[in-house]
Amino acid sequence: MFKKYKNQDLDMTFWWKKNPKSPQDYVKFISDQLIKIESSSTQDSKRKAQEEVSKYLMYTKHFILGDTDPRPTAESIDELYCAIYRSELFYDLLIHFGDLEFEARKEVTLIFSICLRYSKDNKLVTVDYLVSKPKTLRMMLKIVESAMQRKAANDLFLTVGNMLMECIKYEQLCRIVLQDPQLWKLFDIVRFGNFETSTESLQILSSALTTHTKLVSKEFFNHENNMNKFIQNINKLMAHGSYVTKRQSTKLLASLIVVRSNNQLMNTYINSLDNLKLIMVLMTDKSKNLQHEAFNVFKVMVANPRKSKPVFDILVKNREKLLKYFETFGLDYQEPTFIDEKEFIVQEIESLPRIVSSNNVDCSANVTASPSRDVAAAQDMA
Amino acid sequence: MLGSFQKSLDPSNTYTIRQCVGRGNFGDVYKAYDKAEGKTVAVKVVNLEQSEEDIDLLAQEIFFLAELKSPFITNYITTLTEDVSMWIVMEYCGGGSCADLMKHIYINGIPEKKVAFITSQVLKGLVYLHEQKKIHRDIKAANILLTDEGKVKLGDFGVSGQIRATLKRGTFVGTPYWMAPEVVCKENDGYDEKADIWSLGITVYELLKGAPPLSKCDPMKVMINLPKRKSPALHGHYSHSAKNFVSTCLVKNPVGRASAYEMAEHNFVSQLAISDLKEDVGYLKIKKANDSHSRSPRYSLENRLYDGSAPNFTWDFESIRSVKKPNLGSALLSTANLSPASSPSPLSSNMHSPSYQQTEGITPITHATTPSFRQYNKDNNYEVESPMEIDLDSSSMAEEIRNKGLDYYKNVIFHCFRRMHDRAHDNETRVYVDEVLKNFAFAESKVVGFSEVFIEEVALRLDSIKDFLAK
Repeated sequence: MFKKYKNQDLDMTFWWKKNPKSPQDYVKFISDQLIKIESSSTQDSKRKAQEEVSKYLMYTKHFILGDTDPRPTAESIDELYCAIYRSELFYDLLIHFGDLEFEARKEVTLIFSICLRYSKDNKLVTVDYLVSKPKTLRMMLKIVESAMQRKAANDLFLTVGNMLMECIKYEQLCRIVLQDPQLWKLFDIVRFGNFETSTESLQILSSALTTHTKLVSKEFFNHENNMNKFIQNINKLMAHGSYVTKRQSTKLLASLIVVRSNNQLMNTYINSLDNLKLIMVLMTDKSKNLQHEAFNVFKVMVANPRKSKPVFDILVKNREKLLKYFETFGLDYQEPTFIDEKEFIVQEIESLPRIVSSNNVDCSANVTASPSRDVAAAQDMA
Repeated sequence: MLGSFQKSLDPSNTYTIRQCVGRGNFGDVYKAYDKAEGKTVAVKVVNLEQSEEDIDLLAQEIFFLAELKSPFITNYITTLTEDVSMWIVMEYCGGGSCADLMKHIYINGIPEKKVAFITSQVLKGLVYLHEQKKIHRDIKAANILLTDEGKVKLGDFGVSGQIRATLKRGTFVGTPYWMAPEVVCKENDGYDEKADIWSLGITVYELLKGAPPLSKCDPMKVMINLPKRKSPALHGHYSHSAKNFVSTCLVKNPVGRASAYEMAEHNFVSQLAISDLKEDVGYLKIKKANDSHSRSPRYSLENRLYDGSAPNFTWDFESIRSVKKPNLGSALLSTANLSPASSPSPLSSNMHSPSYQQTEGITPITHATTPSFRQYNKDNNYEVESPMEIDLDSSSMAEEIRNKGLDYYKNVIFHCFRRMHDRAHDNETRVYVDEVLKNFAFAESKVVGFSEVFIEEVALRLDSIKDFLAK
C-alpha cells in the first residue's frame, strides 16, 4: 500500500495528518515503533519511538472507548479488535514491555482489560483468541518472573500482574495459567520478593486457585504431583514467610481446604503429622490474626472423624494443653459462627482420651536434681 | 545469600528514622533518611496487627499508589515490612505544609497571588488523580505540602481514605470543616471526585483567611449541620475572581459542581504572578527551627510483637532428643583430680554471697521480654525440616516435666543467670553474665533443646562427681 520511507518519523507524521485514521493503522504503527525500539542504535531514536508508542496507545484507548470525535462506528471498533489479534499486538507489547514508558504500560493494561470484556455474537472474542494463542499468557508469566531479576522492576511486575489477574477471571484463561509450570515460580517470588512483588504474587496464586473451584479441583489438585507440590510450597510460606506472607498464605490454605470439591487436598493435608505440627505452632504465634487463620485449618483437622493415627496421637498428647489454650484463644472475636466453631472444637478435644500420667513429677523439687536419672527411670518403666 | 539480601531490605537498615511528624488513625508518619539514596523521605508506618483492614485491600491500595507518578503529588517510593508493620515510603516535602505557612508566617491568611499559585498547583494534582478516578478525600491546607524548592505537592492521600470508604460505608473520611455535604449525608450511597472540589473551595477560603469557615464552632456540629446550612461564602477585601472561585467550588449539589479540569480554567488560577514559594519556604524553615517539631507516635516503633521472647504457649511434639551419651567414665578420670569443692569459682570474688533473697519480681517468664533480650530468636521460625530429629514415640520423664510447663531455657538457664546477674558486684561482671546468657538464648533459638541437653550434662557431671567423692 505504502512504500517504505527512509525517514519514517517525519513521513509518518505527515501521513497521519493527511489521512483519516483507520484502526488497523493505529495497530500497525504501534507494531512498527516496537520494532524500532528494538533496532534503534541511539538512545535518542529509542526514546522517540517509545514516546510514539505511548502516544498511539493513548489514541487506541480513546478509540476503543469511543472517546473520539466523531465517535467511531461499531464496524471500525470491530476492525480494531481484528487488527489487534491479527498482528498479535499484545504479544509484541509484552515482549517490549520493559521498554515501554510508565504511563504507556498502564494504557496497555487498560486496553487489554477492555479487550477481554469485548464480546461479539455472545462470544468473548479476546478470550477465545488468547486461548488459541497461549503464548501471550505464557509471556505474562515469564515477565512476572523476570521482574525478580531486574532491579526496580516493581512497576513492570504490578502492571503485568494486574493483566494476569484480569485473565484469571475467565475459566479458559485460568486453565492456561494453572497448566504453566511458571506458576510454581510465583511461590518463590512470594518468599523472596519485596513487599509489592511478594504480595501481588500471592494474590495471583490466590485468585488462580480460588476463582474457579471446579476447574481447580478437577484439573489441578486431581494431579497428585500438583497437590503435593502445593502443600510443600504453601507450608514453606506459612513457616518461613514474612508476617504478611504467613497470614495471607494460611488464609489461602484455610479457604482452599473448606471447598467441598477440594476434598482430596483436604484429606491429604489434614492427615499429615507435619502439617498438624506446623498449624499448631502457628496457633501459638504472637500474632492474634495469624492464630485465627491457623485455627481455621486446625478446626478441620480436629473435626475430621477419621483422623490418621499420628495426628490423633499428637492431639491426645496435647489434650490438656489444647483445652488450656482454648480458654483464652479468640476471646476478642465475637462472630457467632466462630464462637460455635470454637465450642465444637473444644468439645471434640474434651472427648479425646485422657492420658494418665504414670509418674507424678514435682517440677520444682526434682528438676534441678537430676533429670537424666528420672529420664532413665521413665525409660526403664516403659 | 538470599537471606542476607532480604536482611539488607529491612527498613531499619535502609532508613534511619528521624522523628515522628504526624499521627493518623492508620499509622504514624515519620521523617526518615534513606541511607542508600542519601535523601530524606516520609515513612508512614501501618501496624497490621492492630489494623482491622484486610491486608489484600491495603495492598491493592498501595499498588494503586505505586501507579501514580506526577510532579504535583507526593510520590510513592516503596513499601517494606518490619515486625508487624508496613512502612510506606513516600517523597518527603521538606518545606512543610501550607498550614505551617499560616501558623508561622501568615497568621491571618496568605496573600492572594500566592494562594492563586498554590491552588493552581493543587488543581494540577487533582486533574491527574481524578483522570484515574482517584479521590483524595482530605484536601486541606495541612495536606498541601511544599518542597525545599518551594514547589507545591498534594500529600497524604491514598491508603487510609480509599480503604475506609470502601470497607466501612457510613464512616466519614476527611476532616469535618473541609468535608463536602454529600460525604456527610448518610442516605447518599457514595460520592465521587467532586467531593475534592468542595474541600478545595474550603481550603482556598482557609488559605486566604487563615482558618476554614466556622472554625470557632464545634467540628461535629459543623459537620452535622452541613447538609442543612447554605454554603459558606468568602467575604472581605478579596478579588472578585477569588470570591467567585470559592463559590464555584462550594456548590452543594455535586452534580452541578465543576470538575477539576474546569476549575483549572478559572481566571483565579489562570494568570499567576509567581512560580514558586521558595522565599516563604526559606523563611518558614528558620521559624520552624526554633520549635521542636517532634510528636509522639501512636504506636511506638520500639514496641515489637516479635520481640524475641518465646511464645506463650508450647506444644508437646517432641520427647527429649536421644542424646548420644559421652563416655563418662574416661571423661571423669581425666578431670577427676580437679576436686571441684576446693577452690572458689573465679566469679565468686566478684559476687555477693549466696544469701540471695528470692524476690517475687524475678520470675523468669516476665523477664524474658526485657529489652536487652529482645533480639534472641528473631529468626526462630518453625522449621518444616527441623534441624533436630525429634523422636515422637518415645515418651520420657523429661517430657513429663515439660508437660508441667518447664522450659529449660526460661526456668533454669535464665533463672540462674538472673541470679548471677543480681549477685554480681560490678557492672563488668554483669556484662559478662549477660553476654553468656545471650549466647545461650541464641543457641537455644537455633537448636531447640540446647539448654535442656546442657542441663542434663551438668546434672550428670555433678552426679558423677558426687559419686566419685562419696567413694
